[in-house]
Amino acid sequence: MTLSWLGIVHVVLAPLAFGCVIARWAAPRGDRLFVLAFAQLAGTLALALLEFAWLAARLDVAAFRFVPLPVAAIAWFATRRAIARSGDEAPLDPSSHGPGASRAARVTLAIAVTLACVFVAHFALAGSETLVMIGDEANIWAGKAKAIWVENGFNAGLGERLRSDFTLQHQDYPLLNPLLQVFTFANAGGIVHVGNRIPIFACVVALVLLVASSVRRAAGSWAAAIAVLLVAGCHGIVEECENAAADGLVALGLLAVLECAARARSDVRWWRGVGIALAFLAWSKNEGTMLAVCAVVALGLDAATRGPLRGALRVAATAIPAAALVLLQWGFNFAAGVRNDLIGNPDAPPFLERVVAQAWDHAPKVARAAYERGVLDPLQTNWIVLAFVVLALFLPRIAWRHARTATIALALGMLGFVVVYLGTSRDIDWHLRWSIDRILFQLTPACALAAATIARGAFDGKPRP
Amino acid sequence: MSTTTRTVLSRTIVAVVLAVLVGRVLATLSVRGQAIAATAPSVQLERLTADFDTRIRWSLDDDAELFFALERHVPADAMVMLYATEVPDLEHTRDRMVLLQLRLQALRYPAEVPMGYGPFENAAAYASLLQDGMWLVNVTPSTPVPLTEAFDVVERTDAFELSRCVMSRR
Repeated sequence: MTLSWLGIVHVVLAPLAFGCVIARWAAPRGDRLFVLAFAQLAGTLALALLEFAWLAARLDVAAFRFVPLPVAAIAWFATRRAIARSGDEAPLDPSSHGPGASRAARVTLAIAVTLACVFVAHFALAGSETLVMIGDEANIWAGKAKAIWVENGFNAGLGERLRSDFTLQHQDYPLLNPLLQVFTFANAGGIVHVGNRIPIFACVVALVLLVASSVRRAAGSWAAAIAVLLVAGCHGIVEECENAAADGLVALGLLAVLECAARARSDVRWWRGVGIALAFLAWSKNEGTMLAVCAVVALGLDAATRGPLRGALRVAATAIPAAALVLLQWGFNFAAGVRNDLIGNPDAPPFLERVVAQAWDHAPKVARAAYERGVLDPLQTNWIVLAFVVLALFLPRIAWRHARTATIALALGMLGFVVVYLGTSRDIDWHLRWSIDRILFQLTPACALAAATIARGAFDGKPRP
Repeated sequence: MSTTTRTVLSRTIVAVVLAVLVGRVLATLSVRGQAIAATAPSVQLERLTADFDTRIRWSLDDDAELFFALERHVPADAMVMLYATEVPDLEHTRDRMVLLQLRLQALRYPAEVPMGYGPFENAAAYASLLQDGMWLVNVTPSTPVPLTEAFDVVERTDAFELSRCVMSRR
């Protein structure tokens, strides 16, 4: 079974159709890079949520392919009318391109973005030489999608299948990625083994565009050209282009949260984007859920240090969609009888006990792995994470003043990953070997934004909007 | 430390970091550019348009023939015994078998591909398995195995079917 060309077009366009509707309400007009990236993120989330509702209603999974475009069209007209009545359109982007950007800088950025897209297309084509049948993309993500497809949605047999299939791992992981793959199965009329990477790959393209847009806003077009080439050329993104895992979704969600939060300083309507990006991040993967919590804490701390309680309350309200999605996922896991093997492993001591007991042994190994993969192998992250760490450590005042939310969120995220490694119930060497590269990649684009913001702050003296 | 000194110091740090990152951009362009330049457009087109069997051959390399043999000859619900014999890299061979099983399982989903793994020390063991209806697949046919002897045993019990033994071409 393969996905037809028409099916491929539909799989790519359906999320974008939803995204265009949402972007009218929550994304800026003017910054095309951001609008496209944000539309992909928001549309992907909306498509998966609609599919979740469809499957929860026990409707035929194959018939879902006929649903998204009509629903998006109805939503488009409804949104248009509502916006015309209220005048509540998405804000104009105050810093797209920037009036000071020279023609040379703009052309350079355009070339850099084009080259970055060539890189990821090359990686994706190289990856298409292999089928989705081994590793995390098969055992975690495609496996779950296949189980949903075979059981025709969330029917009674799904929980049993998820629990009993010995090839499946991490059955509790969020459904965003599997639902996107199920959508490709519905378009193909059966299980496919290459085309199911397409909706995930589309989000990696969106990630590249968002890096360009966000760093351009924070530090200008030259910095954006450097950042987009570094992110699109690093080893970390190769794996994301070649397989259907969810780490690209995590990276996209984290970067979108921090970017929307930075833009929200100049216009409160950007909090809509923060809420959508947080929900996307929280539903992308368990690491994404943890990073979403870190981002909310960072936003809350930032709001608390800046002013009245109203800011902190706004952060809490913004986090409601993400919290609702996490509860939805927990409800699904409970109904399916699956649980997290890190915290809910009945054969191992409680997580915090493990953290304390294993810290002395695991900490040096974690540090060594981070050093080997993040520093000794420059192409892995193109030293972007290292650059952020160096700038945040050596210029803490500038980081605090100009990139407070991003710095706190990334620091908490790194700390969270270390705690997970300290408390892992798996062999630490094995765990590090198979995960450290992916985790570094999840943080890389957000580190690019934070590093660019700090660097700009050192020269500017005052934060850009 | 005065404000001016601090400003100069912070800008120097940023300049050093920026210089390193620009160096990384050049290195990245070189590495990725060479990789893309070394890939002929016809290869990219083939990657885009290849059929399913070709992708299986690309994915499985040497094990592709074994996959096709299993796919085309072994019934979906058959129990399969992949066996290897006393080879120097037995552990590696066994890993290959496990990976092959997982891949088969992924491609034939939801049909299960129950498998066991050899080696067995004597012909009687093979004969017993064949009699039980199990498929034996030799993944190391180049090494001496007591297969003929096993067939003899099975033939004597009239339970042997030649088609049950799929030999990989490896």
